[in-house]
Amino acid sequence: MIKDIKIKNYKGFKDFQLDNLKQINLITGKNNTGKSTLLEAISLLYNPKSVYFINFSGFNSNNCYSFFHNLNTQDPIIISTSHNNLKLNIHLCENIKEEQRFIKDEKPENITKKETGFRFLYSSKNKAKTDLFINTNGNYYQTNKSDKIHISDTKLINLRNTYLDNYVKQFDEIQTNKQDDILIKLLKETIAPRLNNITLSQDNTLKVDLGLDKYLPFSALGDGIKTLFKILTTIYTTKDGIILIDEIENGFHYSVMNSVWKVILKAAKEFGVQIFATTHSKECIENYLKAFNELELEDDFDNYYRLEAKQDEIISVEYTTDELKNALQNNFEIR
Amino acid sequence: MSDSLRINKDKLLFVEGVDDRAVIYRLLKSLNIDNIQVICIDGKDNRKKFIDTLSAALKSPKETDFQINAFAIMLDADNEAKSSFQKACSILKELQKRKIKNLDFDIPKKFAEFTNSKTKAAVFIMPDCKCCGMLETLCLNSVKDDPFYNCVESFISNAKGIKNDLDYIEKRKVLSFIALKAKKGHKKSLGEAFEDDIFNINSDVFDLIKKFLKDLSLR
Repeated sequence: MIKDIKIKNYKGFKDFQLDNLKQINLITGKNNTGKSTLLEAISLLYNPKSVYFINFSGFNSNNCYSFFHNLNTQDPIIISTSHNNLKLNIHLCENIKEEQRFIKDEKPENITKKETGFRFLYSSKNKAKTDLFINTNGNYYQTNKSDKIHISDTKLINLRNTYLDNYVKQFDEIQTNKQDDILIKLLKETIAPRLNNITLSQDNTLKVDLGLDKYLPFSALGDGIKTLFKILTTIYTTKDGIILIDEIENGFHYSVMNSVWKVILKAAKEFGVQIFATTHSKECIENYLKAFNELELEDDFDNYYRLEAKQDEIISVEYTTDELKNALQNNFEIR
Repeated sequence: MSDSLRINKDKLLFVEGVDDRAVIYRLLKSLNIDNIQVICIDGKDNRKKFIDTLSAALKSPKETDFQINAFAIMLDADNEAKSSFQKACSILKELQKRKIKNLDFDIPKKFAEFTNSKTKAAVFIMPDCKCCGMLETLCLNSVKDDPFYNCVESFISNAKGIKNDLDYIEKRKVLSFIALKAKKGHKKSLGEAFEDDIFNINSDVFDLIKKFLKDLSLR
């Protein structure tokens, strides 16, 4: 579990730090205050290949500059945490061919000329240094493959993305571990009372039994159950890892929010998963607190942050659970 | 539901209840001061809750990008002004430990005096930083010349003859006075009665608190 994160020169973050991170971290703030950017940075730290999908426009030679604060590509992006002293420097490489001296394990002829991309330079507690080159064409080169850096399993859940392949793989793993019955039971109790079963067909698609004569495709289900399915399958398959969820309220009716949160909090606790979730919804926050109290979770299980844009910087305002509770009771704005 | 509270002034005054807030806003209006935001923090008897609420209020988002220049806590003296002052200071010490961003303040040493820290802080104890009592004491003191005041005194005195452990005397006196003075006998809270000038806003009993509010507005 990471307890802090520092981000420098990444998109809206000039020099940003979040401390006192807990197992559950709920993040809010107005538009353009860096909520999604924070999740991206954590994702990049532990899963550099996520550079390909964290931007809607992908990762290409036209937009790779936009990852840098105020387009400042002279300085690296730095993302670090005190957990294992992990530090990542990301440099823009406009011609990876020229950088091939760093790439000991790759044959230079594999690299075509003028590949643009990022060099990910890691350092960590055990002094290991790892270089990765990820270019905009989808190629990936790694040096010092023998060195191990401390990487946590980290998954970014994009709830707006309708692509299900990752979740199909996760469900397959859950079935193998014989955890699918519990998962289906939770979905049924929380949000989909008609759901009897979910199966993986031979063509690797998900089918659902809603008590009708035939199985239906998973895509026929509503957004709420799809969202909860994505979140739960990810928690079940990311033991002791980190999960990043942008706009967690997406697809849920307010009346199910309390039970949805209970299921998520219980699963996160059971699988030791650290969650970073953003939200714009006050109802989502209220129901989160209600679930938190009903489950009688410990005070140091969670923290709440609001990000605020101040001129060229983004700052965070941190609330303890009790401060958050009292703010809501007194109708103080928290978002 | 009304809009959630956001901070819209750089000088904040935290009071114990909605009546205190209404009274202070009426006094501010009479002084033509509009740069102070008055915020209610309920439940001073639950210390932890009071600090959590105060801290949450200070963390509320601001309407525009500015910093809080000064803030004050206003508590009732109840049985003793000095112990209420110490209570307020110990609350401020706890608040200091929470390290709220851009809120850099020292602990006040005297009643109604602002610190010289980057964020100015002060404590005012009702009714006058000296005597025991509360907001109600101050309001009643402002109408001692009113003929109805004596009626209220006699009424409560008679009631005490029937029930000698009658509690919340000041509050009962205030409500009795309002019942006599309000138009058509309308039921009003102290805050509403004060807004309607049922109490004497020009009385010199308010001089100290007015001075304090002027002081806060200039920080």
